[in-house]
This record gives sequence, structure tokens and C-alpha cells, in this order.
Amino acid sequence: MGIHNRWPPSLTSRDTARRAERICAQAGIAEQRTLAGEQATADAVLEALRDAGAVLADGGVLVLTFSGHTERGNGPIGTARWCLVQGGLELSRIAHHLALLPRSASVVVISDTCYAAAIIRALVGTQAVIVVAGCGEEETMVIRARSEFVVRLEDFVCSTRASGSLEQLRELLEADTPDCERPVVWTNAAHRWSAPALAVPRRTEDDASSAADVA
Amino acid sequence: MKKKPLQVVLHAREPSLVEFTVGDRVQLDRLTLSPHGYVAERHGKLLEPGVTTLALAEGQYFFKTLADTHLRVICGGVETSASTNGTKNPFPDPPAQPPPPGGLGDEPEGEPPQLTVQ
Repeated sequence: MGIHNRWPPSLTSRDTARRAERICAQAGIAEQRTLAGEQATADAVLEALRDAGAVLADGGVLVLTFSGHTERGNGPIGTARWCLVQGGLELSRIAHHLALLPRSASVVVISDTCYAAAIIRALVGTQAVIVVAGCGEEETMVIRARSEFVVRLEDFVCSTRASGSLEQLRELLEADTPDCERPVVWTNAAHRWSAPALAVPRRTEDDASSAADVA
Repeated sequence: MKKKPLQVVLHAREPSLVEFTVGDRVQLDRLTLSPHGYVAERHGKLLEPGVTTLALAEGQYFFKTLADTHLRVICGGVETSASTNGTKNPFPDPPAQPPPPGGLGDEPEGEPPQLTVQ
């Protein structure tokens, strides 16, 4: 949840953060960390990613949720920036840090922002990744009290107990959406995620604390 | 040339009947004023491509579209404003005619569609 003096408050962020926490809990992620308000600096986000990478067990899952503004700018897609306190964080840097996670790790990115799907094109790692984005890489999102796709995502995860398929999730999120603001569900490892959607391969108690939620 | 969305604000000064002719699936939002400015909330079903006539209660409405759009005010009083950039600037104090609700990013590149009002 980033803030920046140039931008109006993102009214959706707190609601999205709460929903992301419930989504992660439902999906079996025991350890979560939320960076909100003044805590949401670029350094803090990168540090949280490094910390998560250090404790992820073999086959562990990291869920990274961002809700806030994105500056697209005029450069390559990787130079688009999540707007955080004290400055933006380029998608390419986020992708670089995700690529440093263990190769066996899986990553779920919930992107509640303008140009939300742009993170897909910045990814460089070999880890299995799911991106659930509120809109396409060239689309903007209107500020609402709640982010409609996050509400639907939570309903989906909770109603299916995190066992619905990605295709079901995609159909649900895309349905009844306008052409210029359509959610995106993407993965580079459909075979790996074919049965459960967001969800985390069920883990033992020993490694249940190995995933982090950075909101 | 890539299209970028046109953002349209409607101010219904009184209960009005408006005919929308749209070229893509459009979400109409009603704008409400919050302490932080205007917030959009979905108003009714999506407008499918083609012609849809809607009764609008007094208030502020908003939609964005990638296609040329025509509005016809059948009765009542509706003012419109259109822009391609409602997302870069912080919200000003609430004006009589609101700006488009803010977005979660800066302005995309591209050529906007046209709006005509009758």
C-alpha cells in the first residue's frame, strides 16, 4: 500500500490489504507481513522480499500484494513504478528480487493498481508465477471504495477453499467487466497450478511459516 | 494508433433520460463525494455495444470508453465533460462539475475516441 504526495489517497488499499490477508489465510499461508502507510517504502518492500526469500522452504510460496498507484511513464514497461513512500519502485527491480527467490519457490502476485498486468512482462525469473491483476498492462483503474476484482477474488478463494481452477478464476474475474478495465489472470506454469488456483500446495507445519504476504 | 480511454462525466441536474450509443462494453459509475474526493460506484448493468436508454436520477455519473460514443438527452438536464486525463492530478476541492474520479496511475498513451452529445 503505497502513498505518494503527488497522488490522491488510494481508497481501496486498506480494504484490499484486509482481503489479501484473508485470502492468504484461506490459502494456508501462515506468516504475513503488511507494509501500510509510511511503512510502505521501496526499501521496506525489497527488504521484505529478501527476508521472504531467506526463509522460504523448498517449494514454498510467496504472495505479493500491491494496492496503490502505478506510474507508467514513457519508458519500457519495466520502468513503470509502484508508487511508494519516498518514491517509486520499478517493476524491473521487483521482478529482479522475485527472481532471486529459490528456484523451487512459487509466487502469486495480486496487483491492484493501474497497468496492473505490466508486472507480467517484467518478470525474469524461472519460478512458477501466478499474476492476478485488476486490469491489463495498458489499462487504468478507477478509484473505488473497494476493488471489485479483489472482492471477487476473496469470494472465489473462500467459496472454493482455494481449490478452484485458474480457468474458473479467470472466468469469474473477467465476467461483467468493461472492455477498458478487465482483470487478468496469468501464469507461466499452468501445469503446476492446474488444480488449485491461488493456492498454495498444501504444506507441512514445518514449512507453513515459510511464505510471506507483502501488501 | 493505440486507443486510450476517454473519460466522461455526466452531471444530471434533474432526473433525466439519456440515450447512450457506445461501441464497447462500458461501465457506468455514480460518483459520490468522500472526504478524499469523488469515488466511483457501479451504477446498474454494463452498457453493451449499441443503444441503451437510461433514466438517471439527479447526480454525477462517470464512464470511460475506448470507442466513439454518442449521448442524446431525451429529457431532463444533463451536462457532460470529457477528458483523457483524470488521473494525474490530485483531486481539487469539490467543484460543481466534478473531475473524473481518480485512477490508480498516470495517463496512458494513445488516441482517445470521440464523444458527441445531442
